[in-house]
Amino acid sequence: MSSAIPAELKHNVKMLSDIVRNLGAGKSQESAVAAVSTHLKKFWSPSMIESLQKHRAEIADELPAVALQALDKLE
Amino acid sequence: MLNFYDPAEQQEAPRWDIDFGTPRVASDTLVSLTIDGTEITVPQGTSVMRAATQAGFAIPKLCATDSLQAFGSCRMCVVEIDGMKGKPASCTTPVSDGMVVRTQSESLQRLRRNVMELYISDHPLDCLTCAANGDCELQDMAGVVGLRDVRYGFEGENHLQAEKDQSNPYFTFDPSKCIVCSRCVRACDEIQGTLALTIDGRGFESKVAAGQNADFMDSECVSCGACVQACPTATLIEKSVENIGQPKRSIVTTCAYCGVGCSFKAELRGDQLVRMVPYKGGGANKGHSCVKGRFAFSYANHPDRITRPLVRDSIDEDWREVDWDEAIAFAATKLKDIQARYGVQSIGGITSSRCSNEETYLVQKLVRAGFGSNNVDTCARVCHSPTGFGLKTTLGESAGTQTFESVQKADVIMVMGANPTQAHPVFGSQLKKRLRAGAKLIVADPRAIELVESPHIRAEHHLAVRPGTNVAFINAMAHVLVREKLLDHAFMEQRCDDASVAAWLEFIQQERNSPEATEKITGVPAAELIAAAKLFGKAANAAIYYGLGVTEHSQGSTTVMGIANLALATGNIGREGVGVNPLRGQNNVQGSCDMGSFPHEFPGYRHVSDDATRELFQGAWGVELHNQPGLRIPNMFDAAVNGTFKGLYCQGEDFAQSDPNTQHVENALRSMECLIVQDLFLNETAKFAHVFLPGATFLEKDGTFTNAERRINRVRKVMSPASGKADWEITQALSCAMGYPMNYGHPSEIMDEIAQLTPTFTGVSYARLDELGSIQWPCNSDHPRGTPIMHEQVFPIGRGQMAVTEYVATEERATRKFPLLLTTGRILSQYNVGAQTRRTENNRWHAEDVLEVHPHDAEERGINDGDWVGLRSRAGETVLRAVITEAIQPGVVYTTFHHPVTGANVITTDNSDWATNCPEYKVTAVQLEKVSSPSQWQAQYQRFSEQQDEHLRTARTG
Repeated sequence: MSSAIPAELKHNVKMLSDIVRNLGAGKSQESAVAAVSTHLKKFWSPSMIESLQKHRAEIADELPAVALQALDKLE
Repeated sequence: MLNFYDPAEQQEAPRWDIDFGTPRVASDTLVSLTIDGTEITVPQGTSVMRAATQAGFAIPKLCATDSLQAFGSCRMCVVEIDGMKGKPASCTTPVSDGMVVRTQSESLQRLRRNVMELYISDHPLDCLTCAANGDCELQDMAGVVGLRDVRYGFEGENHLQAEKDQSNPYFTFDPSKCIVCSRCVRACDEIQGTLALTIDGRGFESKVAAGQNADFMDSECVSCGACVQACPTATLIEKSVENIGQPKRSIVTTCAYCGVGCSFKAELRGDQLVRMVPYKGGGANKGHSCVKGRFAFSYANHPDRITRPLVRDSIDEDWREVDWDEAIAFAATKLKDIQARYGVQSIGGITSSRCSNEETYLVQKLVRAGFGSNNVDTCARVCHSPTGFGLKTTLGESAGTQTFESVQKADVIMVMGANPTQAHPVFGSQLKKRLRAGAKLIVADPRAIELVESPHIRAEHHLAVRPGTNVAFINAMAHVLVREKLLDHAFMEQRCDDASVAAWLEFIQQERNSPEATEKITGVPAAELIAAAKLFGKAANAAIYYGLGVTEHSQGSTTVMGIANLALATGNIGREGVGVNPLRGQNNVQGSCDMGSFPHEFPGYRHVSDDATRELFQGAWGVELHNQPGLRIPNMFDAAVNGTFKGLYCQGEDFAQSDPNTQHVENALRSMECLIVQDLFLNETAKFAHVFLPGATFLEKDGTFTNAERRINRVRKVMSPASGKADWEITQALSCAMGYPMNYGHPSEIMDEIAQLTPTFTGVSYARLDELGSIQWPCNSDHPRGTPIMHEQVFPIGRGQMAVTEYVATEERATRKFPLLLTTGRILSQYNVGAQTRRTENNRWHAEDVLEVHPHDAEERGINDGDWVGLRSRAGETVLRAVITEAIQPGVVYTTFHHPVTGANVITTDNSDWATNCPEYKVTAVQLEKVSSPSQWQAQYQRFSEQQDEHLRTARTG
């Protein structure tokens, strides 16, 4: 994982990547975004989601498009 | 006429205090006979002895007891039966229609007296000083048959000088008192299934022997206590009875160790606990026990126990002993101050699966209503949270589907990532019983666990799945079922969601899920997997049991769903002998989850965003509640390190030892301004605490635990809390001090509130539990006596949802730098972090954690058995002693985490299950090397622990 990512976000970025790899597999991009955003909303605290949204630019290179779109959807 | 075959009556008023001599027989065919002039009707197959006892005519016996099959050796139970020659043994003679039996006659009395005389002629006459005086069946029977004299004298050859074996820390074996009734041998065979005991020699030389004539401690004996329980004399007796004397009163309660949830009679003399005796009426254990529940209770009185509240401003300071009021005020002031400075979300709470339902319910209520956030989580996060997610998604309920008893109807049993004989020993014995009766076994596990091959047990298939590849494995099993046309299409059509079935079928048939394709991933040969899958698919009843070897992976939730898929696809759901069975690690994992300990759910697994549910709780609790999830345990630690999470109330949990990536956890704990630990001992977490609230043991409080079969069992107060308060009272006091009043007078009132607010618990109350003994939820108007088997007709979500379970390889994989995979587990004698069992004699069996290494891997590194080895991962390094064994496959090493100095979790990483954050304890890439000194972390740990012990000592000595 890139060292450019703030240390406090690294774990959350990794968890989000894992969710995309598991929930997104075999799905269309649209379905994957829906599934990932639903999962985040259901199981993640708002502060965790907000911290990623706030640093979107810094973490964009480390996350797949599905993850970023899911974060956007939750804005 | 007396009719004793009324199932309803049997359920209402089972007579667990009576020994009927032979086991209960289940049969729809009834037989009527006459015993001593009284007509009685019993199920066909019942012994004359049992029928007579039911009718109130107890027949003298020595070798018979109703937990064991009839043996017919002691000749004490002879009777007269019209039309039968001689005097048959009533224990081995089944009833028949019209039979006329006499249990008493002059001739029978003479015969029994003569037999007893022979026994007594080779038995010490030391009744007055014998530890079993007053609790000895031989003594009782001598009285019953009217023995007044022994004509043979005691000068002849006898066994009276036989040497006593005192090797076991918990019981003694005195062969001079043995009557060779074989009850101990049969108990070891039939109940425990270890077959450690035998009758050695013949005739007069016959004697009970452990192993190959070894001491008990050196034999295969696992100290379950079944032999002690079965012994009719003082031959096998608890050392505690020898030391203290016979108990005088007893209270039925529930063991606080593993998720089996065994019922015990706590037997006391005054306020002193003499022994824990497995309770025959226990729905889960039916009178059996293991070495932990039966014997390992001395931690309750260990000198390390802290019984006065402690406070300090910094972890570098000495503790100060204070009274309860000061401690609670200190804690509440700190928490309120933190919230004032950092916001409402800056504090949270952690409940424990070691605590009762009522206690966990109160903690989550305190956090949600008193702290004003949903920052509450439970240690189930780090064990079975994937079970909750996976089973809720597929079957609609976050729970196992069966009773333990159900395994007796299974034809094929798959045990995956579980080690029942070590971690769930009483269920392990039940499982072995079924296997000895002919059921077939498939073991899917990286290690050759005991079930793979042990006396009279041999798995048909041991599928040594490579750590981290469970999903590929379970998909391949399902692929074969489809390919071999072994699916239950009728079940899927009737019970499962059509669209989910279609999607699953389309997915699972793909070539990449075939055993030939997955062989390279899992390490399981395709041919072996195909054979196992066929065995599973062709079984009339196939059941799956799984444990942390399934859940504690980056794809733990996916594997749980894959297991549910297998059960749904083969129609193995909704009846006895089948099902999906998570074996829960701790005593109340199921209950702590049921009680709303997760940050996204209220009690009963209802999401916090559900308006109707939230309004229900708001109405009952009188506060507004948040509608979004709070922080999970690992998120709390991250937030603490990041400086946004500052205060934590932790009840009965030791995450500094049990959670992964110890260094990260320690950093998080050091970052907090107020850590409140409520526990029995100054555990690893408490060493970082600012407030220590002394908790109560399970013997010191009332409450309930819910075991792995959803069975709610009563925990009954046996003695007063050593600290003066039960745990629920402490939480209540903290809540009041935080400004959210709670006014419960007894845990039963908490359960009443749970029942009022939770649809699956509406029929549960202490009165109902006392009446029924235990209740398996759901218990409501639809299921007033509870629900032993779930999903018989319909799933809570209507139709079962089959899940597409894509295999996604873990990022934690062997590399050149870290070429081996570490996996972790448990051992029989120790429990979880060992805080309790390390403070008992159980340490004699497992005084340190060791590292199991395959001979090939050891040889490559020049490591010999017993060497100190450094174990290094990308997270950290520790040092353990090596044990070379072929039980582990090449490329994999294994250890346990029962001793804090081991630092097993210094090695494990922050990888976790994608859905639930359950840590990936079971897969860590590591390297080994021979070393001669402790790791840096271990040296630091030693220094820190000594420092903290000194801070405590100062407080205690003033």
